[in-house]
Amino acid sequence: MLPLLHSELFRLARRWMPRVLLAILFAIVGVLYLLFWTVMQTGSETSSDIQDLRENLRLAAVRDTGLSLVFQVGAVDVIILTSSLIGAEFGWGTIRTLLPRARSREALLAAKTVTALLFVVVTVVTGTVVAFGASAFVTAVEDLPRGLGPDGVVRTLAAIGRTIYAMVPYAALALMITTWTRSVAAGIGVGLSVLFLEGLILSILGAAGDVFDRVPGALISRNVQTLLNANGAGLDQRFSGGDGDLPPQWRAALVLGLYSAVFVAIAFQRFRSRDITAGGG
Amino acid sequence: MTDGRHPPMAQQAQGGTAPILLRTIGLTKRFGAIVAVDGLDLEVRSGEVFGFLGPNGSGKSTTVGMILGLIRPTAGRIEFRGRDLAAQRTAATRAIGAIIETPAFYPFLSGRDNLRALSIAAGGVPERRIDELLELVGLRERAGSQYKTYSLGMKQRLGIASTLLTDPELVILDEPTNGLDPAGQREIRELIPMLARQGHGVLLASHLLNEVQQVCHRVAIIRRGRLIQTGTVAELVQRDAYLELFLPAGDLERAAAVVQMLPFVGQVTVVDGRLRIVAPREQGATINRALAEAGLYASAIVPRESSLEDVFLELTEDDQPGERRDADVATAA
Repeated sequence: MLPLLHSELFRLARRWMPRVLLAILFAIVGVLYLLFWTVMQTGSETSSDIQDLRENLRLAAVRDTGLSLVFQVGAVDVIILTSSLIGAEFGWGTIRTLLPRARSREALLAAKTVTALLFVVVTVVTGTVVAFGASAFVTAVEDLPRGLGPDGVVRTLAAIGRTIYAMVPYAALALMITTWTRSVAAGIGVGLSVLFLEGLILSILGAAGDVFDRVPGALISRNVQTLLNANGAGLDQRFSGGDGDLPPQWRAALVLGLYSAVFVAIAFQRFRSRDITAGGG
Repeated sequence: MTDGRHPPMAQQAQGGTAPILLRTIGLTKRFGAIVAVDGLDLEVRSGEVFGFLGPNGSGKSTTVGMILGLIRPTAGRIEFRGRDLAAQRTAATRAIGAIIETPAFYPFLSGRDNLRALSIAAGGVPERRIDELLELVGLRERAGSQYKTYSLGMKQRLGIASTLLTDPELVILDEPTNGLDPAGQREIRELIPMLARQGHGVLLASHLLNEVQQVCHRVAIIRRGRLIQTGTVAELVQRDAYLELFLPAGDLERAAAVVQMLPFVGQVTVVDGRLRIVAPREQGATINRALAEAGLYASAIVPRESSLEDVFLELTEDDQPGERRDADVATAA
């Protein structure tokens, strides 16, 4: 699998798409911090909202505020890139050129899966660096409390890990849909729909009363929210939202892990049995 | 290209004594109710150029797809160097080089980087090998340009370079001269026998029968997924060989009656004022003697062979243009 992974990374490093996606992440996280800072400057210092905002923009809160922003933008990037990693091979017909060079179909898809996971890591790490940079700027200008707080480094690293883990099901979903349909658009469309519409669906189900009580805990977004909320542990503020009736962390991690495993398993099963005929499909 | 790694085996290959590189045994592929390839038995030997012919939709690309692991056979086996190909896919990644149908590469990469990406995937080749191949196919000047800026002919050249990247034992070329200008076509026609002389086995699928006749040692013709004829090019073109006799117009009828009495003579017809006799070419002298004994004198007896195109068209003539099963297959899959 290593030669195939090397080849994937060689090609990815020469594509504009990952650079553009990371630039968008960079810009959006930076702009949002700038926006928060601007709001902070225009409001009254005695206002509780402005006080909350000051708390959220300090360095220690990057693991909460910053990583929540990184997740929101980064998950979109990850869905787009993962869909493109698989779907473009079918669209360009290069699957017919590449597959005969692969030791096995499993090795080829494994290389693509690892590449997508590496991009998840790069996305979260890059976003975290940008958030730290923006927060450091605001902290310096506004003379906010410096430092990461007690166990700050460990908590920040754990938060980065949780954010990466929370993004993996979306990458796996995009991988499965694109492998199944051979279409970049389908992978992006379904991935983004699940990312953005799950919350809406939960609201609709909530309106039905107790009938669907257990459904939200079995979906992706509620479990992701659990992990993102855990990023803010030890901080006074909670940018990612209240705990409400979120599932416990261990269960959230288990559910998200199961989703990822099932999506990847289906993708492998489909890719293993598929005939690659004219035009790549 | 001429690294001398492979011994010259073309002569052996033509004689059928070179080792069998690739063998398909009862290879079958069904797409639902459609039988795309039906019990196909083929052999490609080291050092030979093996032509693989068939009308559109006859199952050529499906067969090549199965050899390359792109399509799962429904039944039958593929052996490479005497062993099941599926069990040695790792070795096959370097030992088989192929372009199937139109070449497909990464549009955002240069020609050179496309070759690099494929070489990395196959375990790596020296950079100078990439330089040699770019030189060989005449792409050195444009090696740094993005693939998406290439003409069809340049894409085809890059495809040929990619097949040779790992110096494979078996080279599969599907319509390799498609899109090339006449000079490019000639270069490829010269390259293919050279590969065979170096010991590579070459499986050449092409519609250009003149091209196949020039470069192939043996050919197989398939129709509707079934093998209908295989043999050396010489055997096929002599299959319908005949002798053409030039006689005065008034003697044609009598001459026809005389030669029809000879035991080795098949069909006798008069075409364009000449007598066309289906008979072995070495019997020309016997025919001439029989005519002379009857007081008839031929001014010339010329042995004629059919072209491969004639043979191909005769064998596949009842295939209707509408029966394009590869297109059906692509839709069905």
